[in-house]
Amino acid sequence: MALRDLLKGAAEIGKAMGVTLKALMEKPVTVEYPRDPVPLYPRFRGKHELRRYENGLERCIGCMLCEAACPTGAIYVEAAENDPEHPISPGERYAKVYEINLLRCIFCGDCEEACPTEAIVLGHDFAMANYDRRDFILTKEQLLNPGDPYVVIRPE
Amino acid sequence: MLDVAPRVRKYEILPSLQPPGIPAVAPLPTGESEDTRRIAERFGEAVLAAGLHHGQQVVYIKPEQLVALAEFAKTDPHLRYETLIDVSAVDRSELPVSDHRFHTVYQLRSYSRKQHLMIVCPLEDGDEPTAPSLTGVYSGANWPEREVWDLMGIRFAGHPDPRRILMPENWPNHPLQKQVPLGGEEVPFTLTWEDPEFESLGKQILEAKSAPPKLPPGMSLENMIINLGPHHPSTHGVLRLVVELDGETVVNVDADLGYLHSGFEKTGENKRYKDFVYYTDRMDYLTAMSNNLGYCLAVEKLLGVEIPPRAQVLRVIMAELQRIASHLFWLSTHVLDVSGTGMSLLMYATRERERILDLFEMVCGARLTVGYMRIGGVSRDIPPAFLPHLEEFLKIMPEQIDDYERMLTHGPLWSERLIGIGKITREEALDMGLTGPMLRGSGVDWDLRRDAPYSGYENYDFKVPVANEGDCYARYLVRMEEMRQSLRIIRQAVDNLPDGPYRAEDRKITPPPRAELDISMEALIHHFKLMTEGFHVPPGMAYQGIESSKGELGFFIYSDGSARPYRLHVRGPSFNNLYAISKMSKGHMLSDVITNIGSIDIVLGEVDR
Ligand code: SF4
Ligand code: SF4
Repeated sequence: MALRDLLKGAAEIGKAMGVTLKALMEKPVTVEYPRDPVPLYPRFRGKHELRRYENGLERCIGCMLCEAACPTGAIYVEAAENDPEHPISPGERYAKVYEINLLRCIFCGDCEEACPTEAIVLGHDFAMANYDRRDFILTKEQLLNPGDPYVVIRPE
Repeated sequence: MLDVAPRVRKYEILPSLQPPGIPAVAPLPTGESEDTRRIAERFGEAVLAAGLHHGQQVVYIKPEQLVALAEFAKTDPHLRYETLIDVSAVDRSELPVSDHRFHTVYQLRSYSRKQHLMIVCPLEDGDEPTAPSLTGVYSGANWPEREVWDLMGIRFAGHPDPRRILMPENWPNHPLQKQVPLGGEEVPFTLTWEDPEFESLGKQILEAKSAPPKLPPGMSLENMIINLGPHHPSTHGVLRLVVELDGETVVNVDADLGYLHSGFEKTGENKRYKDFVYYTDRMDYLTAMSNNLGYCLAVEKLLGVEIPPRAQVLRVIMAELQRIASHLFWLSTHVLDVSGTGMSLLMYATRERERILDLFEMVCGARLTVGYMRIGGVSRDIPPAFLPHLEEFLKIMPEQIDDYERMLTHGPLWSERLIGIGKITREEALDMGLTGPMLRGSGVDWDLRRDAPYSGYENYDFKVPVANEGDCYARYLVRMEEMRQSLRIIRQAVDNLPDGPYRAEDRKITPPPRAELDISMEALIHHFKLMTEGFHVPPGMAYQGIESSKGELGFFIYSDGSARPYRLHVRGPSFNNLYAISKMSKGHMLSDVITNIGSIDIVLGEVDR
């Protein structure tokens, strides 16, 4: 009886080992980050970006809807009147100050959904680590010039 | 003392937009059902109101008769409410009422008759509001009542263990009472970074006098007392178990919760309805989709809004994918805890879970904290590549589950560690208010998806796996089969995915499509109003339970007609199921405690909320 149990147990363990052996033949599914970039889908919600129109004007018209919509109060907008000679945005007003506190942001995307001019969008950058709490406050300057994130975009 | 004055910047509500008559009290139930009539006849004067409210059976009862009512509901052959699902309370001090400041609210469930009953008990006012404890009728009331005492400050007369449960013993208030401010820090920006007001940033810590640790009640220093956790890899988070040991044998277990308590309910009561969807993601972070779904359904119940068929099917697909993902994670960590050979299985299960997370990322842009569902539907339609990827997943997954089973089901190590461990009988499971696989593993044939269908689950053909042994092995078998059944549901959902809108076209609740903003003034106004003020929910209360991967996830919402929930309570399956740990572990070896924790399948984010 005991011997039979032993043999049966050994057979079961053998079966389990069979599964692991099978895995030897498979190609790895992991990504060698940071050597290789991470593949992301276009809808990925990462670090914010402020967009411009093709003619260089800022899309943001300082309407503060994103600030109101944000569940965590992570956005701060201060609007000002555009100078008609040198407008910064096509509307009457533009955002004089636009800041996002990344420590408070939960990357929900509500700002993106609220913005009537599609000015604020969530980009693809996910590597946001920093050394100082202060550096997590994104200024308008940084938001307008986000740089290229180290990712490849998969087709959706 | 801690300074917890709220200094959160408020968005402005246009005064003209605020409808009159807010706040308002939830209306009393109307009409009657068989059960409420039977109760009303039996208790006569003590029943203050009984009937239906949003399709739910509600009974208002005087506190003197509460215990008698619970006993009657449990034992009467025509009622047979075997289980107490949830206990919560409402602080009505900000409603236009002058008496009965506190109401306790109970959710009872009859599995044999497929009925749900909500009992509301208005408490007498006084320095110390007290409700009779239901622990004598349903032992599962123990932890929920402790939670109500801790957070709401209501005493329960006759409770066997009236300690705080989530907050520290020396916490100065009961946070869910309305006069306690929300607290928290203002968000700093460049402008305010140098502001001396912000010097306390990140330093708001309760001054703790190091108190000598107290021996949990019922334990004796004759035996060895050890701490399992709060930082222990196999407690699956910051859970501290005080274990009394006689040699290697467990005499008693006491769970110390609250290390991860983050006040979700209080936060929710200070957010617009739409905002809380994202917070639900972070409770049980392994089943974010199900949490979204449960919350949205509860609000939709109050709103009475119709969800388009496509949105319903999309929700089902996501919730079932999430169930598989959560079970995969449960399986891999459970195996890792129990048998040292589990490392490879952890890798395989995570590999498949990764596919699901990829699908989530494709649809909504996030993998863990998805925030995909919206009140009124879902946030976006699926992209073209979604269905082909899902098909591929459906093709490979059954084979993978077979592989897991090949490694475990008959394996000698696995059976040795699981069979006969953590036994719970059918009666105990009902009495303790366990749900989900914990209930089905003990032989109760109940699944909310089949027996109280929501989101169109009545249209799917699937089996509810049940095992009778009540041990860890039975629960393992149940969960494995559940994954297969989830695949079946997804298969049917994909085959019958209807066309149409993915969210309700009710402009009071869901924002208009972006293209309309440029051409329609009306759309712009709706959009503006939704994004600033949010939408108003008619006064009332609703409880909505869904079958999440861990058990019944319930949301209780009391609306006062404004744009924020007046009271929001979450019934987390992990919390109620974890109550069984002491019963399961007594008399077994210390190492079996680990098996039991894994088998209950907890996520501390939800236990502590
Ligand atoms: S993503 Fe969400 S939390 Fe973050 S800034 Fe935008 S609205 Fe606020
Ligand atoms: S980003 Fe958009 S929503 Fe925010 S202020 Fe600018 S225009 Fe308005």
